[in-house]
Amino acid sequence: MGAVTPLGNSVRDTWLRLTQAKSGIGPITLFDASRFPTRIAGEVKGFSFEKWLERNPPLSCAGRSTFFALQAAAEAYKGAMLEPLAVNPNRFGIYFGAGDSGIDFGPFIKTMVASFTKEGAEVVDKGKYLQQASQNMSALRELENQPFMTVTHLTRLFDIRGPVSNCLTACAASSQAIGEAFEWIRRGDADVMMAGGSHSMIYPMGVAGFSLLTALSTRNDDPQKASRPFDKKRDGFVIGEGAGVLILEDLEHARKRKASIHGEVVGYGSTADAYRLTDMDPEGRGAARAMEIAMEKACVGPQNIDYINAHGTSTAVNDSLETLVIKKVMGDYAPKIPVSSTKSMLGHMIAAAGGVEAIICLMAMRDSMIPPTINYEEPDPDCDLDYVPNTARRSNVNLALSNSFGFGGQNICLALRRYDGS
Amino acid sequence: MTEKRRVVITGFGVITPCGNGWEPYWEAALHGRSAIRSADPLKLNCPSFKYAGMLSGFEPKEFIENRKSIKLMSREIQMAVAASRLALKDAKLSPENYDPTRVGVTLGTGIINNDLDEIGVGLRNGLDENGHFSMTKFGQDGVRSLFPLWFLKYLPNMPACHVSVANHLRGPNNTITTSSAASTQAIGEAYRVIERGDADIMLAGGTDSKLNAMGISRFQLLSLLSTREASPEKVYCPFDKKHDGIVLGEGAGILVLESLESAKKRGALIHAELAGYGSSSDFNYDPRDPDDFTGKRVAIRRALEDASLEPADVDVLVANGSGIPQEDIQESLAVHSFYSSSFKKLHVTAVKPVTGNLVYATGSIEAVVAALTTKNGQVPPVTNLESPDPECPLPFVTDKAKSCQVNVAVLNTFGLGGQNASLVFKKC
Repeated sequence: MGAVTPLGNSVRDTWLRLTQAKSGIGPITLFDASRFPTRIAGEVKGFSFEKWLERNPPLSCAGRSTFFALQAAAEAYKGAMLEPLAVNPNRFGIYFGAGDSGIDFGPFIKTMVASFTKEGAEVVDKGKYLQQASQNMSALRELENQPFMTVTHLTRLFDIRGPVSNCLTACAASSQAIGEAFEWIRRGDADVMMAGGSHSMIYPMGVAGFSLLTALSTRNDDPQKASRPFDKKRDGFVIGEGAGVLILEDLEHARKRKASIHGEVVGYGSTADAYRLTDMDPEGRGAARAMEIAMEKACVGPQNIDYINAHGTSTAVNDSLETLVIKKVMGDYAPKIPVSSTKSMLGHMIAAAGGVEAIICLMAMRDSMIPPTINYEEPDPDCDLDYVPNTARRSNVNLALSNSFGFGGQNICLALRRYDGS
Repeated sequence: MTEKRRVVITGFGVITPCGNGWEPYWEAALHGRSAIRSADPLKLNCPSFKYAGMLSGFEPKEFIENRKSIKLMSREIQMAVAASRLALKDAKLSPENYDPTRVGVTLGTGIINNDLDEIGVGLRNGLDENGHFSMTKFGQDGVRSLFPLWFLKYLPNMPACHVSVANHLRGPNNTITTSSAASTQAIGEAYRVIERGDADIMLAGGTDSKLNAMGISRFQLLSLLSTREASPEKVYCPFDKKHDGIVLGEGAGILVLESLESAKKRGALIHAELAGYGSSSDFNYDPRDPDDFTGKRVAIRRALEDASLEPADVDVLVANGSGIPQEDIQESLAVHSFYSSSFKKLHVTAVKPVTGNLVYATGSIEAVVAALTTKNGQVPPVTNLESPDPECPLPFVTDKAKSCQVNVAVLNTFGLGGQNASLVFKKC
């Protein structure tokens, strides 16, 4: 397991601060957001880009989130003791949920400013744009901004020669990547898979885009209180950034090389709402079905669920709907199952969210400790479950579910189980 | 674990510069006829960008009833939804004869490029009195002047979401973003979803258009575009001595994949069986290193192993043939090292010049060609191949289509970041 998050640049640091109920949210420093509708985010802090650049000159133009992915992958690789020879490179694959790195804003805006027309329906003179772009923009940076390049770097640096894929299903991407990687191993296509995701959308057009969708919290004056899933006064999500990487491995393979096992992936459900682009299905049928499929694959029922790491974005709609969905799926057990949203502390790491949240479920199992939902102050009648408010709770966790729902109606649920040695 | 299920193709939906539907595309491929034209209609006013494969006569309204939703769709999304409609029609599937929770979508798409005029409105409002861009001015006045739902048109997963919404498909949904290998992988991944029983039917393929200022500028910066002067339909010539880069096209392709059981039960017409899928990554850093063909070879081998076939079983190879000289040579080396013992039997074709290079969507329409070679027993020629590059000594089909029994066809696609994917199609 490896993580780079707004709360720390390792799993250990992130987990420690999560259990201490710390918030990683603050004012945006990556660009001047002082007049943007939303001026806060969960930024990664104190990250050493230099360390990676020194060792790997080809990374000179790589996007911000690619570095997060490499750092998290290195931590996971090291922790899994996957030094060369521990795995046949041809049986080592990758399924990632890496996001793009956005527009290379400086050169882009320079190009745009030089190409604006004076009048007319056409705002940008395309001929001028193309001519200016060839002067202002960097070919390598344009290449590196594409969402597939993170995986290209990972395969090269970790000598991954098995099957390769990258999905980008918005906020569900890295959960989906873990689920698909799990299926690849079950099918026998690889012995070891690197899975997870990385993303940073804390760039001008990203913050602008989510703001316009009225999805972001505008609690700019009180950043640490802004992400408040399930609380009555929630007003939108806070963008986070980072990476979460897991090494999945065939059980026999792991046992043979005496690897230390953090837990088991036992279920994966993927569905679409197919309702409306801009709204979630008000009955949450797709999300409920994804949870049911994950539980069916894991051969468990509501009585077996010890913890749910909610999607819990802190938007008005998601949190009440997710509550409804959990009640629908868990029935009488719903009020008894601890549900928490770690996005209250990390913000929403978009494509990287699910990878980190799966790690959080595994850490909860290891330490028998459920991380809280912070900023839970005023109950919302539509959100009436046990959200583990404000402080971490000691509790045995054998089986956890992790929900990830994406813009456009994509629903992913993962089921994770404590490894019992059998 | 449940037993592996067989997966067949029961429908094609294709939107290409050759027209709407798979028939005009297949006809053009069989005749080696390129739909690449002068790029003047794009009105880009860019003298160095001369040729492109553009859609002609594509009317989104013909395929999308909800006019309001068209406003939320970028061109890529419109093409994908249209292709999904054609695919379902070709497969004779309508909501009455499938369970929507058992039908999913997997598409290959990349970053969808912004319409510069659309975001230009907001960015122009970010200029200060001296005409310089100011982030504070943009934050204050620019952001609010953008179309509120602008962002939703450009997220990479939106084509797959729109396809699911437009057709009420509530099964597994995924979007693969591995460059030019993306839609080939999407088809491979969807195949796995059915194989393991998570869905009975999957709409799989891809959509892309780089025929816009942002897209073209990237390809120009990377020096990947052909700069030859020739008549438009002759300019794009993979594997030929004259190959010098890509000519861009646009379009979308969607295949209806279905478990054999489901197809039989409803008496569906089967185009071909999808029998194998393999993926890999190149191992060197430089994606265009001419010596690195091992990754490409591995993808082909994995796909054949997956189908329990030997190189000698392959009748047709639909090659990647991007027209980038180094990549054509690499592919030739990979194919040569893998199939050379069965060259007497193998027919190699490449069809990118028919439509131009569809980039993220390229595998989606080439899969249709590969499947049809098995069904129809005809192999299209490599379009515009007159004198092959001596470094590409493959058994190409040239001049005109070849008629022969085709039991097994393989499709190769390679992406810019070093991603490789191959699919195996069997006559059914």
